[in-house]
This record gives sequence, structure tokens and C-alpha cells, in this order.
Amino acid sequence: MDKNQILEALTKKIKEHESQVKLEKTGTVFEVGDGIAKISGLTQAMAGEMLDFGHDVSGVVLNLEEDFVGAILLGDYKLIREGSLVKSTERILSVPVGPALIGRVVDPLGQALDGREPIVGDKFYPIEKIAPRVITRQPVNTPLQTGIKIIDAMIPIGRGQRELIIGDRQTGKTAIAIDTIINQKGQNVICLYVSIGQKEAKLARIVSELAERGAMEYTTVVAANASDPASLLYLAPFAGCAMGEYFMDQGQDVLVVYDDLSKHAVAYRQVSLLLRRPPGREAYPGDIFYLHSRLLERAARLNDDHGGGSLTALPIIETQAGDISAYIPTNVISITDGQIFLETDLFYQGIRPAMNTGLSVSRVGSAAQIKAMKKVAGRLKLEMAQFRELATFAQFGSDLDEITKRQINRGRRLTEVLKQGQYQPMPVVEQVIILYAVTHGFLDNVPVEKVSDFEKDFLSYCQIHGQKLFADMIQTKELTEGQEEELKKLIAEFKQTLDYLES
Amino acid sequence: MKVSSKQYAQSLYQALEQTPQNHWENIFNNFVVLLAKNHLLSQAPKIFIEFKKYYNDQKGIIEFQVKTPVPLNSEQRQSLTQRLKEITGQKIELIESLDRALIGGLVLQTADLSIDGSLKNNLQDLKKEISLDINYLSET
Repeated sequence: MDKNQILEALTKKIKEHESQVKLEKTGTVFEVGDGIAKISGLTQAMAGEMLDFGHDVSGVVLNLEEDFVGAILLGDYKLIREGSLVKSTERILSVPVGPALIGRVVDPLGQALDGREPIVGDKFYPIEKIAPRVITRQPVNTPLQTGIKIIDAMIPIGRGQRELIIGDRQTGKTAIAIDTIINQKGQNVICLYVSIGQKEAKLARIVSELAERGAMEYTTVVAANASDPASLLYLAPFAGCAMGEYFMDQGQDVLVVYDDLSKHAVAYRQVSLLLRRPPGREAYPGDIFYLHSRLLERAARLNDDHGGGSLTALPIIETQAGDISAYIPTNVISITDGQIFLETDLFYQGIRPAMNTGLSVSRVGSAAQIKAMKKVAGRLKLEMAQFRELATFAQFGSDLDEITKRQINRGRRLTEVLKQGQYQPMPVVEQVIILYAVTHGFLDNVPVEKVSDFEKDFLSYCQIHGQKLFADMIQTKELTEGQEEELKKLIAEFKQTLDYLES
Repeated sequence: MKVSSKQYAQSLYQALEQTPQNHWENIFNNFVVLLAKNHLLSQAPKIFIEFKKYYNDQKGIIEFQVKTPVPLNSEQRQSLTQRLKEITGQKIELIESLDRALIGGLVLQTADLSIDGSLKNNLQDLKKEISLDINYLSET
């Protein structure tokens, strides 16, 4: 295109430009502070509507009162003064969604935080949306493999489920969520990690860890950090959910991690109190339950008529001194389809993941397990339960009868096998093989301290000598009698190479 | 019980309404004494704003703020008032102010509506349109 053409096009454009009078619904700020503005005028404002305050600051209408509107401000409100003009946009707060978000770190409004090019979404989705109705859903039946033995075997998570991760600080809550994201590589699952009120340093570590393990190729990080205003913290999980819903509507499977909802509740409490909504228990507003239930209700598994996509939610809650009967923990426990309960004591005993197998449940259950895993998991749960009963007697080692002793020994080896390091998710077939070996007593003569060596060496032995069995199991997802025999043979062969077996 | 600025304004209006104009001074005196007694003199400007709002409401007056780059002449003022009266069916009060940045045209503003017919707004629209085109061209 040459110079003249450009000039011509511009001239044409300017000639064709029609002058238009702009009609806008406006209001005036009469109080502003603490991230809250009260605005007079705006007689047609809707709840949840986006407002334009100028200076690149937007806001969201939360309160509609007799003679004013209460709104939260998103971003730096220092430039807004009493008497500033506010324009209504007649648009419910929406975020950009689409494949452009994958691999990016964004704020709750969908703006890039990773220093790369600005995000241009295919579409905008409202951040508050009514959850999929019952007609559009189907039961959860496909597993979402976390790659963590103790979870996949004992409290399986299905695609479309909501499983709470709850525990004190420093018990490995985030580690479970991150491992789960890392394990989704090649599983056709889009992951979203919503960081709410976390330290920037922790977020930076998580993002670099995800990138290093190739997990950013299918992951979006939505971040509202500790230094961001409470209004952004409050919006973050809803924005993350909306971004996930886009992929669900495209028929894809989505995993959303909300880390963590206790800080979200605190942010919402702050906003509510500043808006002068009446405080209730622990000073949380009356609709705090509804806040979390409407968010988590948006997790769904759609039926095939509606694309068959799913959105799995992994909310995280931090407890204080193991108190799960506080307000927010009980709320979220009752909303979700089960919880993974992590304990400080177990963590310091070296049992990691520090999951309490007694208090953790998954209400979806074995519907979300492959057949092979179902076969070994039943026995595992039983033996673990028996071991917990007997564990208190374990210290009187010598005075016990043979059967009890055997159960305690088995239990110790089970506990050892269920330990797993961070960033080491394990494919489900490998999990089945090692759990089969231990529940069927093949490790009973392996010393407890050698169990982890045994596990590692045996699995690499299988990679070489049991290739056919591996391939078969991956394909059929079953453990047939023939395969069982083959597996037994492999174990026996492998054990002959060992020199540390007890007699 | 806390009485809001709005309620003070309303009661003042009603008190004035019910008394003949030659007693108004008395009423104002009483009102100021009342405010002083309740330690509310600092709220006086707010009460004044509320009073004005309530007065306009009661009398069916709509206040328009008019911003223009050059002062309106009486003919323009007349026709603007006339036109607004036709549209709204209410009495019109114009509060004029100058804003050279508008270049041409005028901006009208009420409590919850703004009508922007200025040249500045027009040029901004044109700028937006052209820059969209440029973005489109540079992408293709």
C-alpha cells in the first residue's frame, strides 16, 4: 500500500464519519475510600454492572440502596475524588476467555501479568453465571488422575467433581494441587490455577515450577496477590471459573484450583463490612455460604448433548490448628463432594502427603476409578482401616499374637508405599502394580526401610521386563486374571535379584 | 436516633412551605440554632445540597449543567431551554460553565445522564475508528 492510497483511505474515512451525540448514564461519587465508592445518580444501575470511573479504573456495583449505589473499585482509586463523574457501561463484569489464555499469567480482569503481549480473548464471559442445570449434567464417571497414590487409590477424584483440600498451613495443600496439574500432561485437561491472596514469591515459584515441568502448555494462572485490593481477591475465583467454563462449553475437560478460599472469604468479609452489610458469625456476611456454593456449583460434568465437557474444582481451605469446625471450613466441607484432610502431625512424622485417611472422603467414590484400580483399592482401604485400629498396639510389639503382628507389619509397608515426594506424580498403571504387590503380601519380607527402594527398582524392572503387561494395562485399564499371573511372575523374578529380603 | 442531612433538608423545606415569606428569616434562625445545638453545623453544605435537590424535585425543576467552549448568547439559551422543556415536560434550569477543551458543540449533564455533543467527543470517536482500522491493516 503506498502513501497516496493511505491518504485517500483516510480522507474517505473522515468524510464518511458521522457526528454522533453520545448519551451516557452517569453518576457522581460522593464518598470514596478503602476500595469502596458510594455514588449518587446512576438510577438505572444493575447489580454486578461494570462502572467506568475514568483514569483506567473500573468498578462493580454491589449495593443498590435508596439514594445511592455502593461499588467496589478495581485498581488504584487514589485518583478518584468526591464529585468525580462515573459512567455506567450497561455490561455485567466479564473477562476475556479463549485459547489465548493458555500458558499465561493474568489478573482477575484478564490482563496479562507475565509481561508478554496483551490478551485478546475470543469472547467475553460474565464472571457470575448460573451453574449448569440438572438437565445438562451427567454423573461423574471418568477419573481425574492426580498421580498421587494415596488419593487415586483411596479417595478418587472424578472429572466434574469438587474435592476440597483442607489442612493447616505448611501441610502440603498447594503441593497436592500442583502435582495434580503436573500430572494432567497428555491427559487432555486444561488447568487453571487461581491464586488468591498468596505471596508473589510463592506464585513466582509455582509458575516457574509449572513451566519447568512443561505444565504451562495447558495451564492458565489467575492471580490476585496479597498486595492487590480486596475487590480483586474477591473476583479472582469467579474470573477463573468463567475462563474454565469456556473450555467446558467447548467439550473439553477442565481442572480449576482455588488456592485458597479462606483468603477469599476474608477478602469478601472486608468488602462487605466496608459496604456496611451486617456482619454475622466470625464477622462474615450472611451470604458467605452462598458466595462459595454458587462458585463451586459451577463445577459440572455435562452430558453428551451439551458437549460432554467437565469442570473439576479443587478448592483449598487453610484451617487454624486443625480446627475443621470453624465457620468457613464447615461451609466448604458441606458444599464439596469430599475432602482431603492434611495434618501437621503426619507431616512431621514424615508421612507425605500428610493425608488423614480416616477423615478424608470422596463422595463420588469408585465410580471415578479404572477397573484395575478398583480391584486393588478395595483391599487397600480395608487393610489401612485395620492397621489404624491396631496401630496404637504397635508399641507392644512382642506381646501380640501372630495375626495382629502380621496386620501391623502389612500396615507399615502400606504406609511406606503410600508416601510420595513432591513433583513426582505416578502414572495410574504403575500405581496399580505397586499397590497390587503390597496388598497381596509380596512386600511382607521386604524390610520397612527398603520399601521405597523396592518400589523404585521394581517399577524400573517392570519398564524393561514387563513392557507387554504395561501396554496391555494402559489399553484395557483392567487387571485380568492372566495379567495378574504375569504380574506375580514378574514380582517373583524381581525378588530373586534382591539381597535384603528378610527370611 | 440519627437524623440524616436529607431529613433536615426536607423538614426545612416543609417549614418554609407552611409559613409566609416575611417569617422565613425567623425559621432560618431557628434552623441554624437547631443545627448548632445538634453539633451539625459542619453538615450545612450537605444539607444545602439536599435541600436544593428536594426543592427541585418538589417544584418539578430539572437542573442541567451546560458546558460550552464559548459563552451562550441569549438566543441560544432561549432555544436550548425551550427544546429541553419540550422533551422533558418540566421546568428547566441551566447552570452554564465554560470549557475550552470541548472545541465546539456542547455537553449537557444532569444527575444521572450526560449528553455529549461536543466536537472533542466527535474527534475522539473518529480517532478510535481510524486506529481500529490501522490495527486491522497492520495485522493483515
